[in-house]
Amino acid sequence: VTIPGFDVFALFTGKIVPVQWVFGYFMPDWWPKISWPWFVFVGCVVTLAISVLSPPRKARSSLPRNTSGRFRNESERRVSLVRLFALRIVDAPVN
Amino acid sequence: MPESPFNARLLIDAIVLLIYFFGIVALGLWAGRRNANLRDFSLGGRSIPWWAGACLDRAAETSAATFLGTPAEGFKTRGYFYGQLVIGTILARFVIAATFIKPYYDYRVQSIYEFLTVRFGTKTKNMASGIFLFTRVLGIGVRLYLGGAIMVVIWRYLFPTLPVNLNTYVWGIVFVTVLTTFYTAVGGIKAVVWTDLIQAVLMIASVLFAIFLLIRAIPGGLATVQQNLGGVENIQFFQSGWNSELAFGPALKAMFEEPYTLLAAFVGSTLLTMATHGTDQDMVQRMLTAPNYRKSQLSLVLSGLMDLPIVIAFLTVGILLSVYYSVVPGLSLPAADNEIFGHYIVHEMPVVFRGLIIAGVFATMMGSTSAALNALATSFTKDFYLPYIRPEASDRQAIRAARIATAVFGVLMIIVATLAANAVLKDAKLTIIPIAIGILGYTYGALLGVFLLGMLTRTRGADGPNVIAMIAGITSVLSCAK
Repeated sequence: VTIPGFDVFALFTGKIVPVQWVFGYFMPDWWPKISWPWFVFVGCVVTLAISVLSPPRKARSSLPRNTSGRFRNESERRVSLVRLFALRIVDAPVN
Repeated sequence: MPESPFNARLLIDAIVLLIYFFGIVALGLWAGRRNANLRDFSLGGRSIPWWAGACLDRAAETSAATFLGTPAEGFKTRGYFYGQLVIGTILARFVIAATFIKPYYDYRVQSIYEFLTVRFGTKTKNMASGIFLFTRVLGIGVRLYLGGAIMVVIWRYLFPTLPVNLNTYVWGIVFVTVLTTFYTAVGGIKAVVWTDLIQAVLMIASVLFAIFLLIRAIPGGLATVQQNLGGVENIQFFQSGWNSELAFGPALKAMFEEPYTLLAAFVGSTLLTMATHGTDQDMVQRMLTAPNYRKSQLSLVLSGLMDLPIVIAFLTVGILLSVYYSVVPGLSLPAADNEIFGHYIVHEMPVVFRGLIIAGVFATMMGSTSAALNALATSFTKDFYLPYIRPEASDRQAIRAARIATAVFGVLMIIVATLAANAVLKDAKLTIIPIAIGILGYTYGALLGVFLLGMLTRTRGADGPNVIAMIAGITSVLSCAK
């Protein structure tokens, strides 16, 4: 993909120099320049493949401690309550 | 010959357009008069009938890019190749209805990215919501350029001797955006739903009427159409994209480089629609307005089935236009393919109907823009304003923040649309559909990846690594794509 952009290094000198950002210039010739209906497929497969490899989250038994009033603000308390509610659903036995 | 700007026929068209604009704004303001809190503003208190939700989905998805861009694809290819992709849009809706909708209802989310907070943590949510805000502003901004395009066609018709420049586009873009932002900011999702219902009806009526008029206007009617296209058997609906004359490797490469193929329809388009209808706040929010998840699923599947006849109708308009302009002598063609349908409407359609169909073009544009503005405002308010800027905000303050966000996103869209208009002015053969949908494709694969991980697994994935995975996903698309 070629996207109209600017020279990042020139920014440090206080100038905005328009340049074209060219991604994928390093790809070999045999590699297809895939058309737009395939974009999501590529992005999804790569993201899923990397994220599924990351280790499982911490044991959830520690989460209820967050409801004991030690929150920095109201939104943190709200998020923790929602998380607690949702985990009950996620952790429910599957059939 | 163009008419004098102030003659009676143009006055009638202008009155039709004014009635439309006045009516749609009044309806929007009336529908959203009782928004008491952010839930009313974003989900309409979950009281929207499922059939209205389906129309909302249809109207929001059928943007001006579809109204003007799809006929341009039909005009250019003289076939229904683009329509193959509908296979994927229907398949994907069944998958989303089965996997995505219920968790959203179970988790009682207003911004769907709250699901990621619950499942992974705030880093994943912030990244996903940021991707959505950035991509939607770009995507809808590019579509809004077409608002300028139709204004330019009208301008050229009224004042053929005056030059067309970027300013002409900008005025059209600003006019449509300001009007839409106004009723969306005040009325919220209820305004969006009820105005979109009117706009969906107007859009469908417009395109059917255009087909009828075109067949009548082509000398010899359908017989001439058949002859000009080389017979009905030569009109192509599907293409595999596989060139058997090439060796396996080059043939495979060529197939992935061709946008409208069967494999792209079944795999690429399915995942694309899963991303746009399962992980995009703009599309999912309207499904969440239904009273329960069953009705939401019904609404989603119905809107998918409505997709097929609508896309075929728009492509038919494009194919008929290509025949019309090749068999009727002495007609001028617009400089850009994107303007072909708009050009026909303004120059060839009868009075009153011309006003109605131009209203239909504006209807599609305003329908998709209003839904996107509401979703952007909701996502910003729920994902960034309430957690980080003002956690203790009251309902009134949250609604005010959402309204201000609506206006800010409206301004950003005007800037993007102006840049798109500038690009088309420099390259008149640029068609808008690949740009408008391609922009979503760059980033939405990463969104779909983390949502699928969250929906399909119970424990895999972690907050920080998800962000890295999303960046890798976006980078890989930018590296592989045209």
